[in-house]
Amino acid sequence: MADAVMADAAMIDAPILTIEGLAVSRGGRVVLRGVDVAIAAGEILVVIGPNGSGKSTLVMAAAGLLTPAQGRVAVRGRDIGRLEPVERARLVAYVPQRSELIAPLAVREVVAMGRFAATATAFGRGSLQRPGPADLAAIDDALGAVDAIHLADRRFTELSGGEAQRVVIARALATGAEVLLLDEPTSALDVAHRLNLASLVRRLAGAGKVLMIALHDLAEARDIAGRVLLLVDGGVRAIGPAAEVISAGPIRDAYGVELVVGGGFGYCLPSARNG
Amino acid sequence: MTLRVVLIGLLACACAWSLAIGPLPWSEVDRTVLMLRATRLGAGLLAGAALAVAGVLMQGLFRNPLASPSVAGVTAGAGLGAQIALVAFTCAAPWASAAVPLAWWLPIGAFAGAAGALAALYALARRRADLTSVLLIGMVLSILFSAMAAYLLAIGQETYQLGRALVAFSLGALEGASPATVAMAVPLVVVGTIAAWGWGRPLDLVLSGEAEAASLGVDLVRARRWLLAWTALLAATSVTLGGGVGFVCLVVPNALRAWQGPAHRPLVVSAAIGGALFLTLADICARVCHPGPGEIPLGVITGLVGAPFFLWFFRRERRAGRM
Repeated sequence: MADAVMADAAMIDAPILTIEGLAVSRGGRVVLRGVDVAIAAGEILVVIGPNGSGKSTLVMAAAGLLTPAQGRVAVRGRDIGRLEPVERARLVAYVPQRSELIAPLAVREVVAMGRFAATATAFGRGSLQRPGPADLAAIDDALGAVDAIHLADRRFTELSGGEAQRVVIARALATGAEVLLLDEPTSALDVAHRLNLASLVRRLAGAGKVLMIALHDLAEARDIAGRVLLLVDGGVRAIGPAAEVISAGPIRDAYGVELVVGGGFGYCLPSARNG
Repeated sequence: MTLRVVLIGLLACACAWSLAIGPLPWSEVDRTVLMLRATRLGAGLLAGAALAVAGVLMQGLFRNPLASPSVAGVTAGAGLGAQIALVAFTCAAPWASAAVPLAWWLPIGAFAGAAGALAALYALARRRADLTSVLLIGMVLSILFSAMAAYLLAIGQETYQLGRALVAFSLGALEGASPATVAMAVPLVVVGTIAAWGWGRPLDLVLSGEAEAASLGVDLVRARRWLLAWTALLAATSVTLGGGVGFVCLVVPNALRAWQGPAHRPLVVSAAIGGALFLTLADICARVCHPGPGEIPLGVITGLVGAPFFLWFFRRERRAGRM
């Protein structure tokens, strides 16, 4: 009995996503060096850092889209560099800063792309137009989660930047992957949808997902993060609770600016204010 | 769906027309004539379908609506390969020519040429896969292959028959296809089209770029390898059947895509039907429109339709800011 309880506790605490000694070179330049971090289920790790510090590279490498020069990325102990792409996509979902999709597909079809790894074999049945029943449910859930049900039949190419961003996030959710990696997901969103995304992220963490999010906005980072990783020149300058990392010392050190906490103004959703 | 029904209906009419051009066959001799016409029709159907499907695959892989075998030098490569095979067959020792019939030399040469052209294009355009680079590199390859083919032609003129065969190849012509070639092409085109349909889902994902497609589970290395191989097979088959017929692979997929959207599985099916229809109509035109006896080379007809379409499409892409 005691053993079972111990095993349970170990399961909860065991990190799902582990990055060990990760170094990445792009175009002959070392962009990331010696990054070590482990993220447990239900945890939100926000990656901050000045422009060019390697945030996007870290997110892409964690998604297995870049080959590390050193170190490895593992999900539940499995090195994602060694997994078949389909297997990897079932474990890890990636949201780019800006999708390169320029084809006039319907929004529902774009989200249906997320179901490829879950249901696909090369000659598998179904298509973007006619997904199976399980796929349909996942697609609708994902669209609902980002408040985009009303966009389902619109053409992707006709959406505004923020709408397109939400659809791409829905595509990542539709994969059902346990690990979600988001590269500046809020950069094109308006205030209301930023707040919606923040609450969505918390809900996902509450449901046991593992989230790693690169963010630009420090106030937003503090709001969303469980832990914060501060990247400077491709190395980890600081990692820890949001309040510790986003504080005067590390921020001055990394960005060369003075942090003013408590001044200025913020936003919240009306429901939050009323509640 | 209605689009496909219309296409199939038109295709049936075109087939009947194609068989009926000329005096009606009643006697025993005329049956042979009908057989010749049927062979030619079969070659047109298969070559058209193969080219259009190859166009869909190539446009999907390069994420570029103008990347098609004829524009990017792949049919030129296949044609050069086939012409080299033709010359080699003529010059080879008699025992070699007897051991392997010409019907085998041509497709093998064409496949080698198409695969070589695609590999060169992919290696050169990979880093800069934007529209202009692919087109320019393809055009340079095309010019290079045509120049080499012209050299072969100059040599080939020494022998009357070889010279004629080489000219027919570079202009595109369906009348040269033998029943054996058509019979051999049937399984190749069918298998190639089914494979293209199978790759439709990964190609849909590639629409959103290679990084996103990989993140969603597409094995890009494998996809590239297979898609290039199937494109080469289809382009080579069409060249074996009809020589260097241009623009089918550009016009048909883009016209259908504008009509029914960019999803690849439905597009492959429609393109196979539409390509067969387009080339059959072009061949009818080649036979009917020529003043006096003889015919217009098929490549001239498809070029007359294709070149304005290319220019119109190019302008449209420009205006939409995609160039």
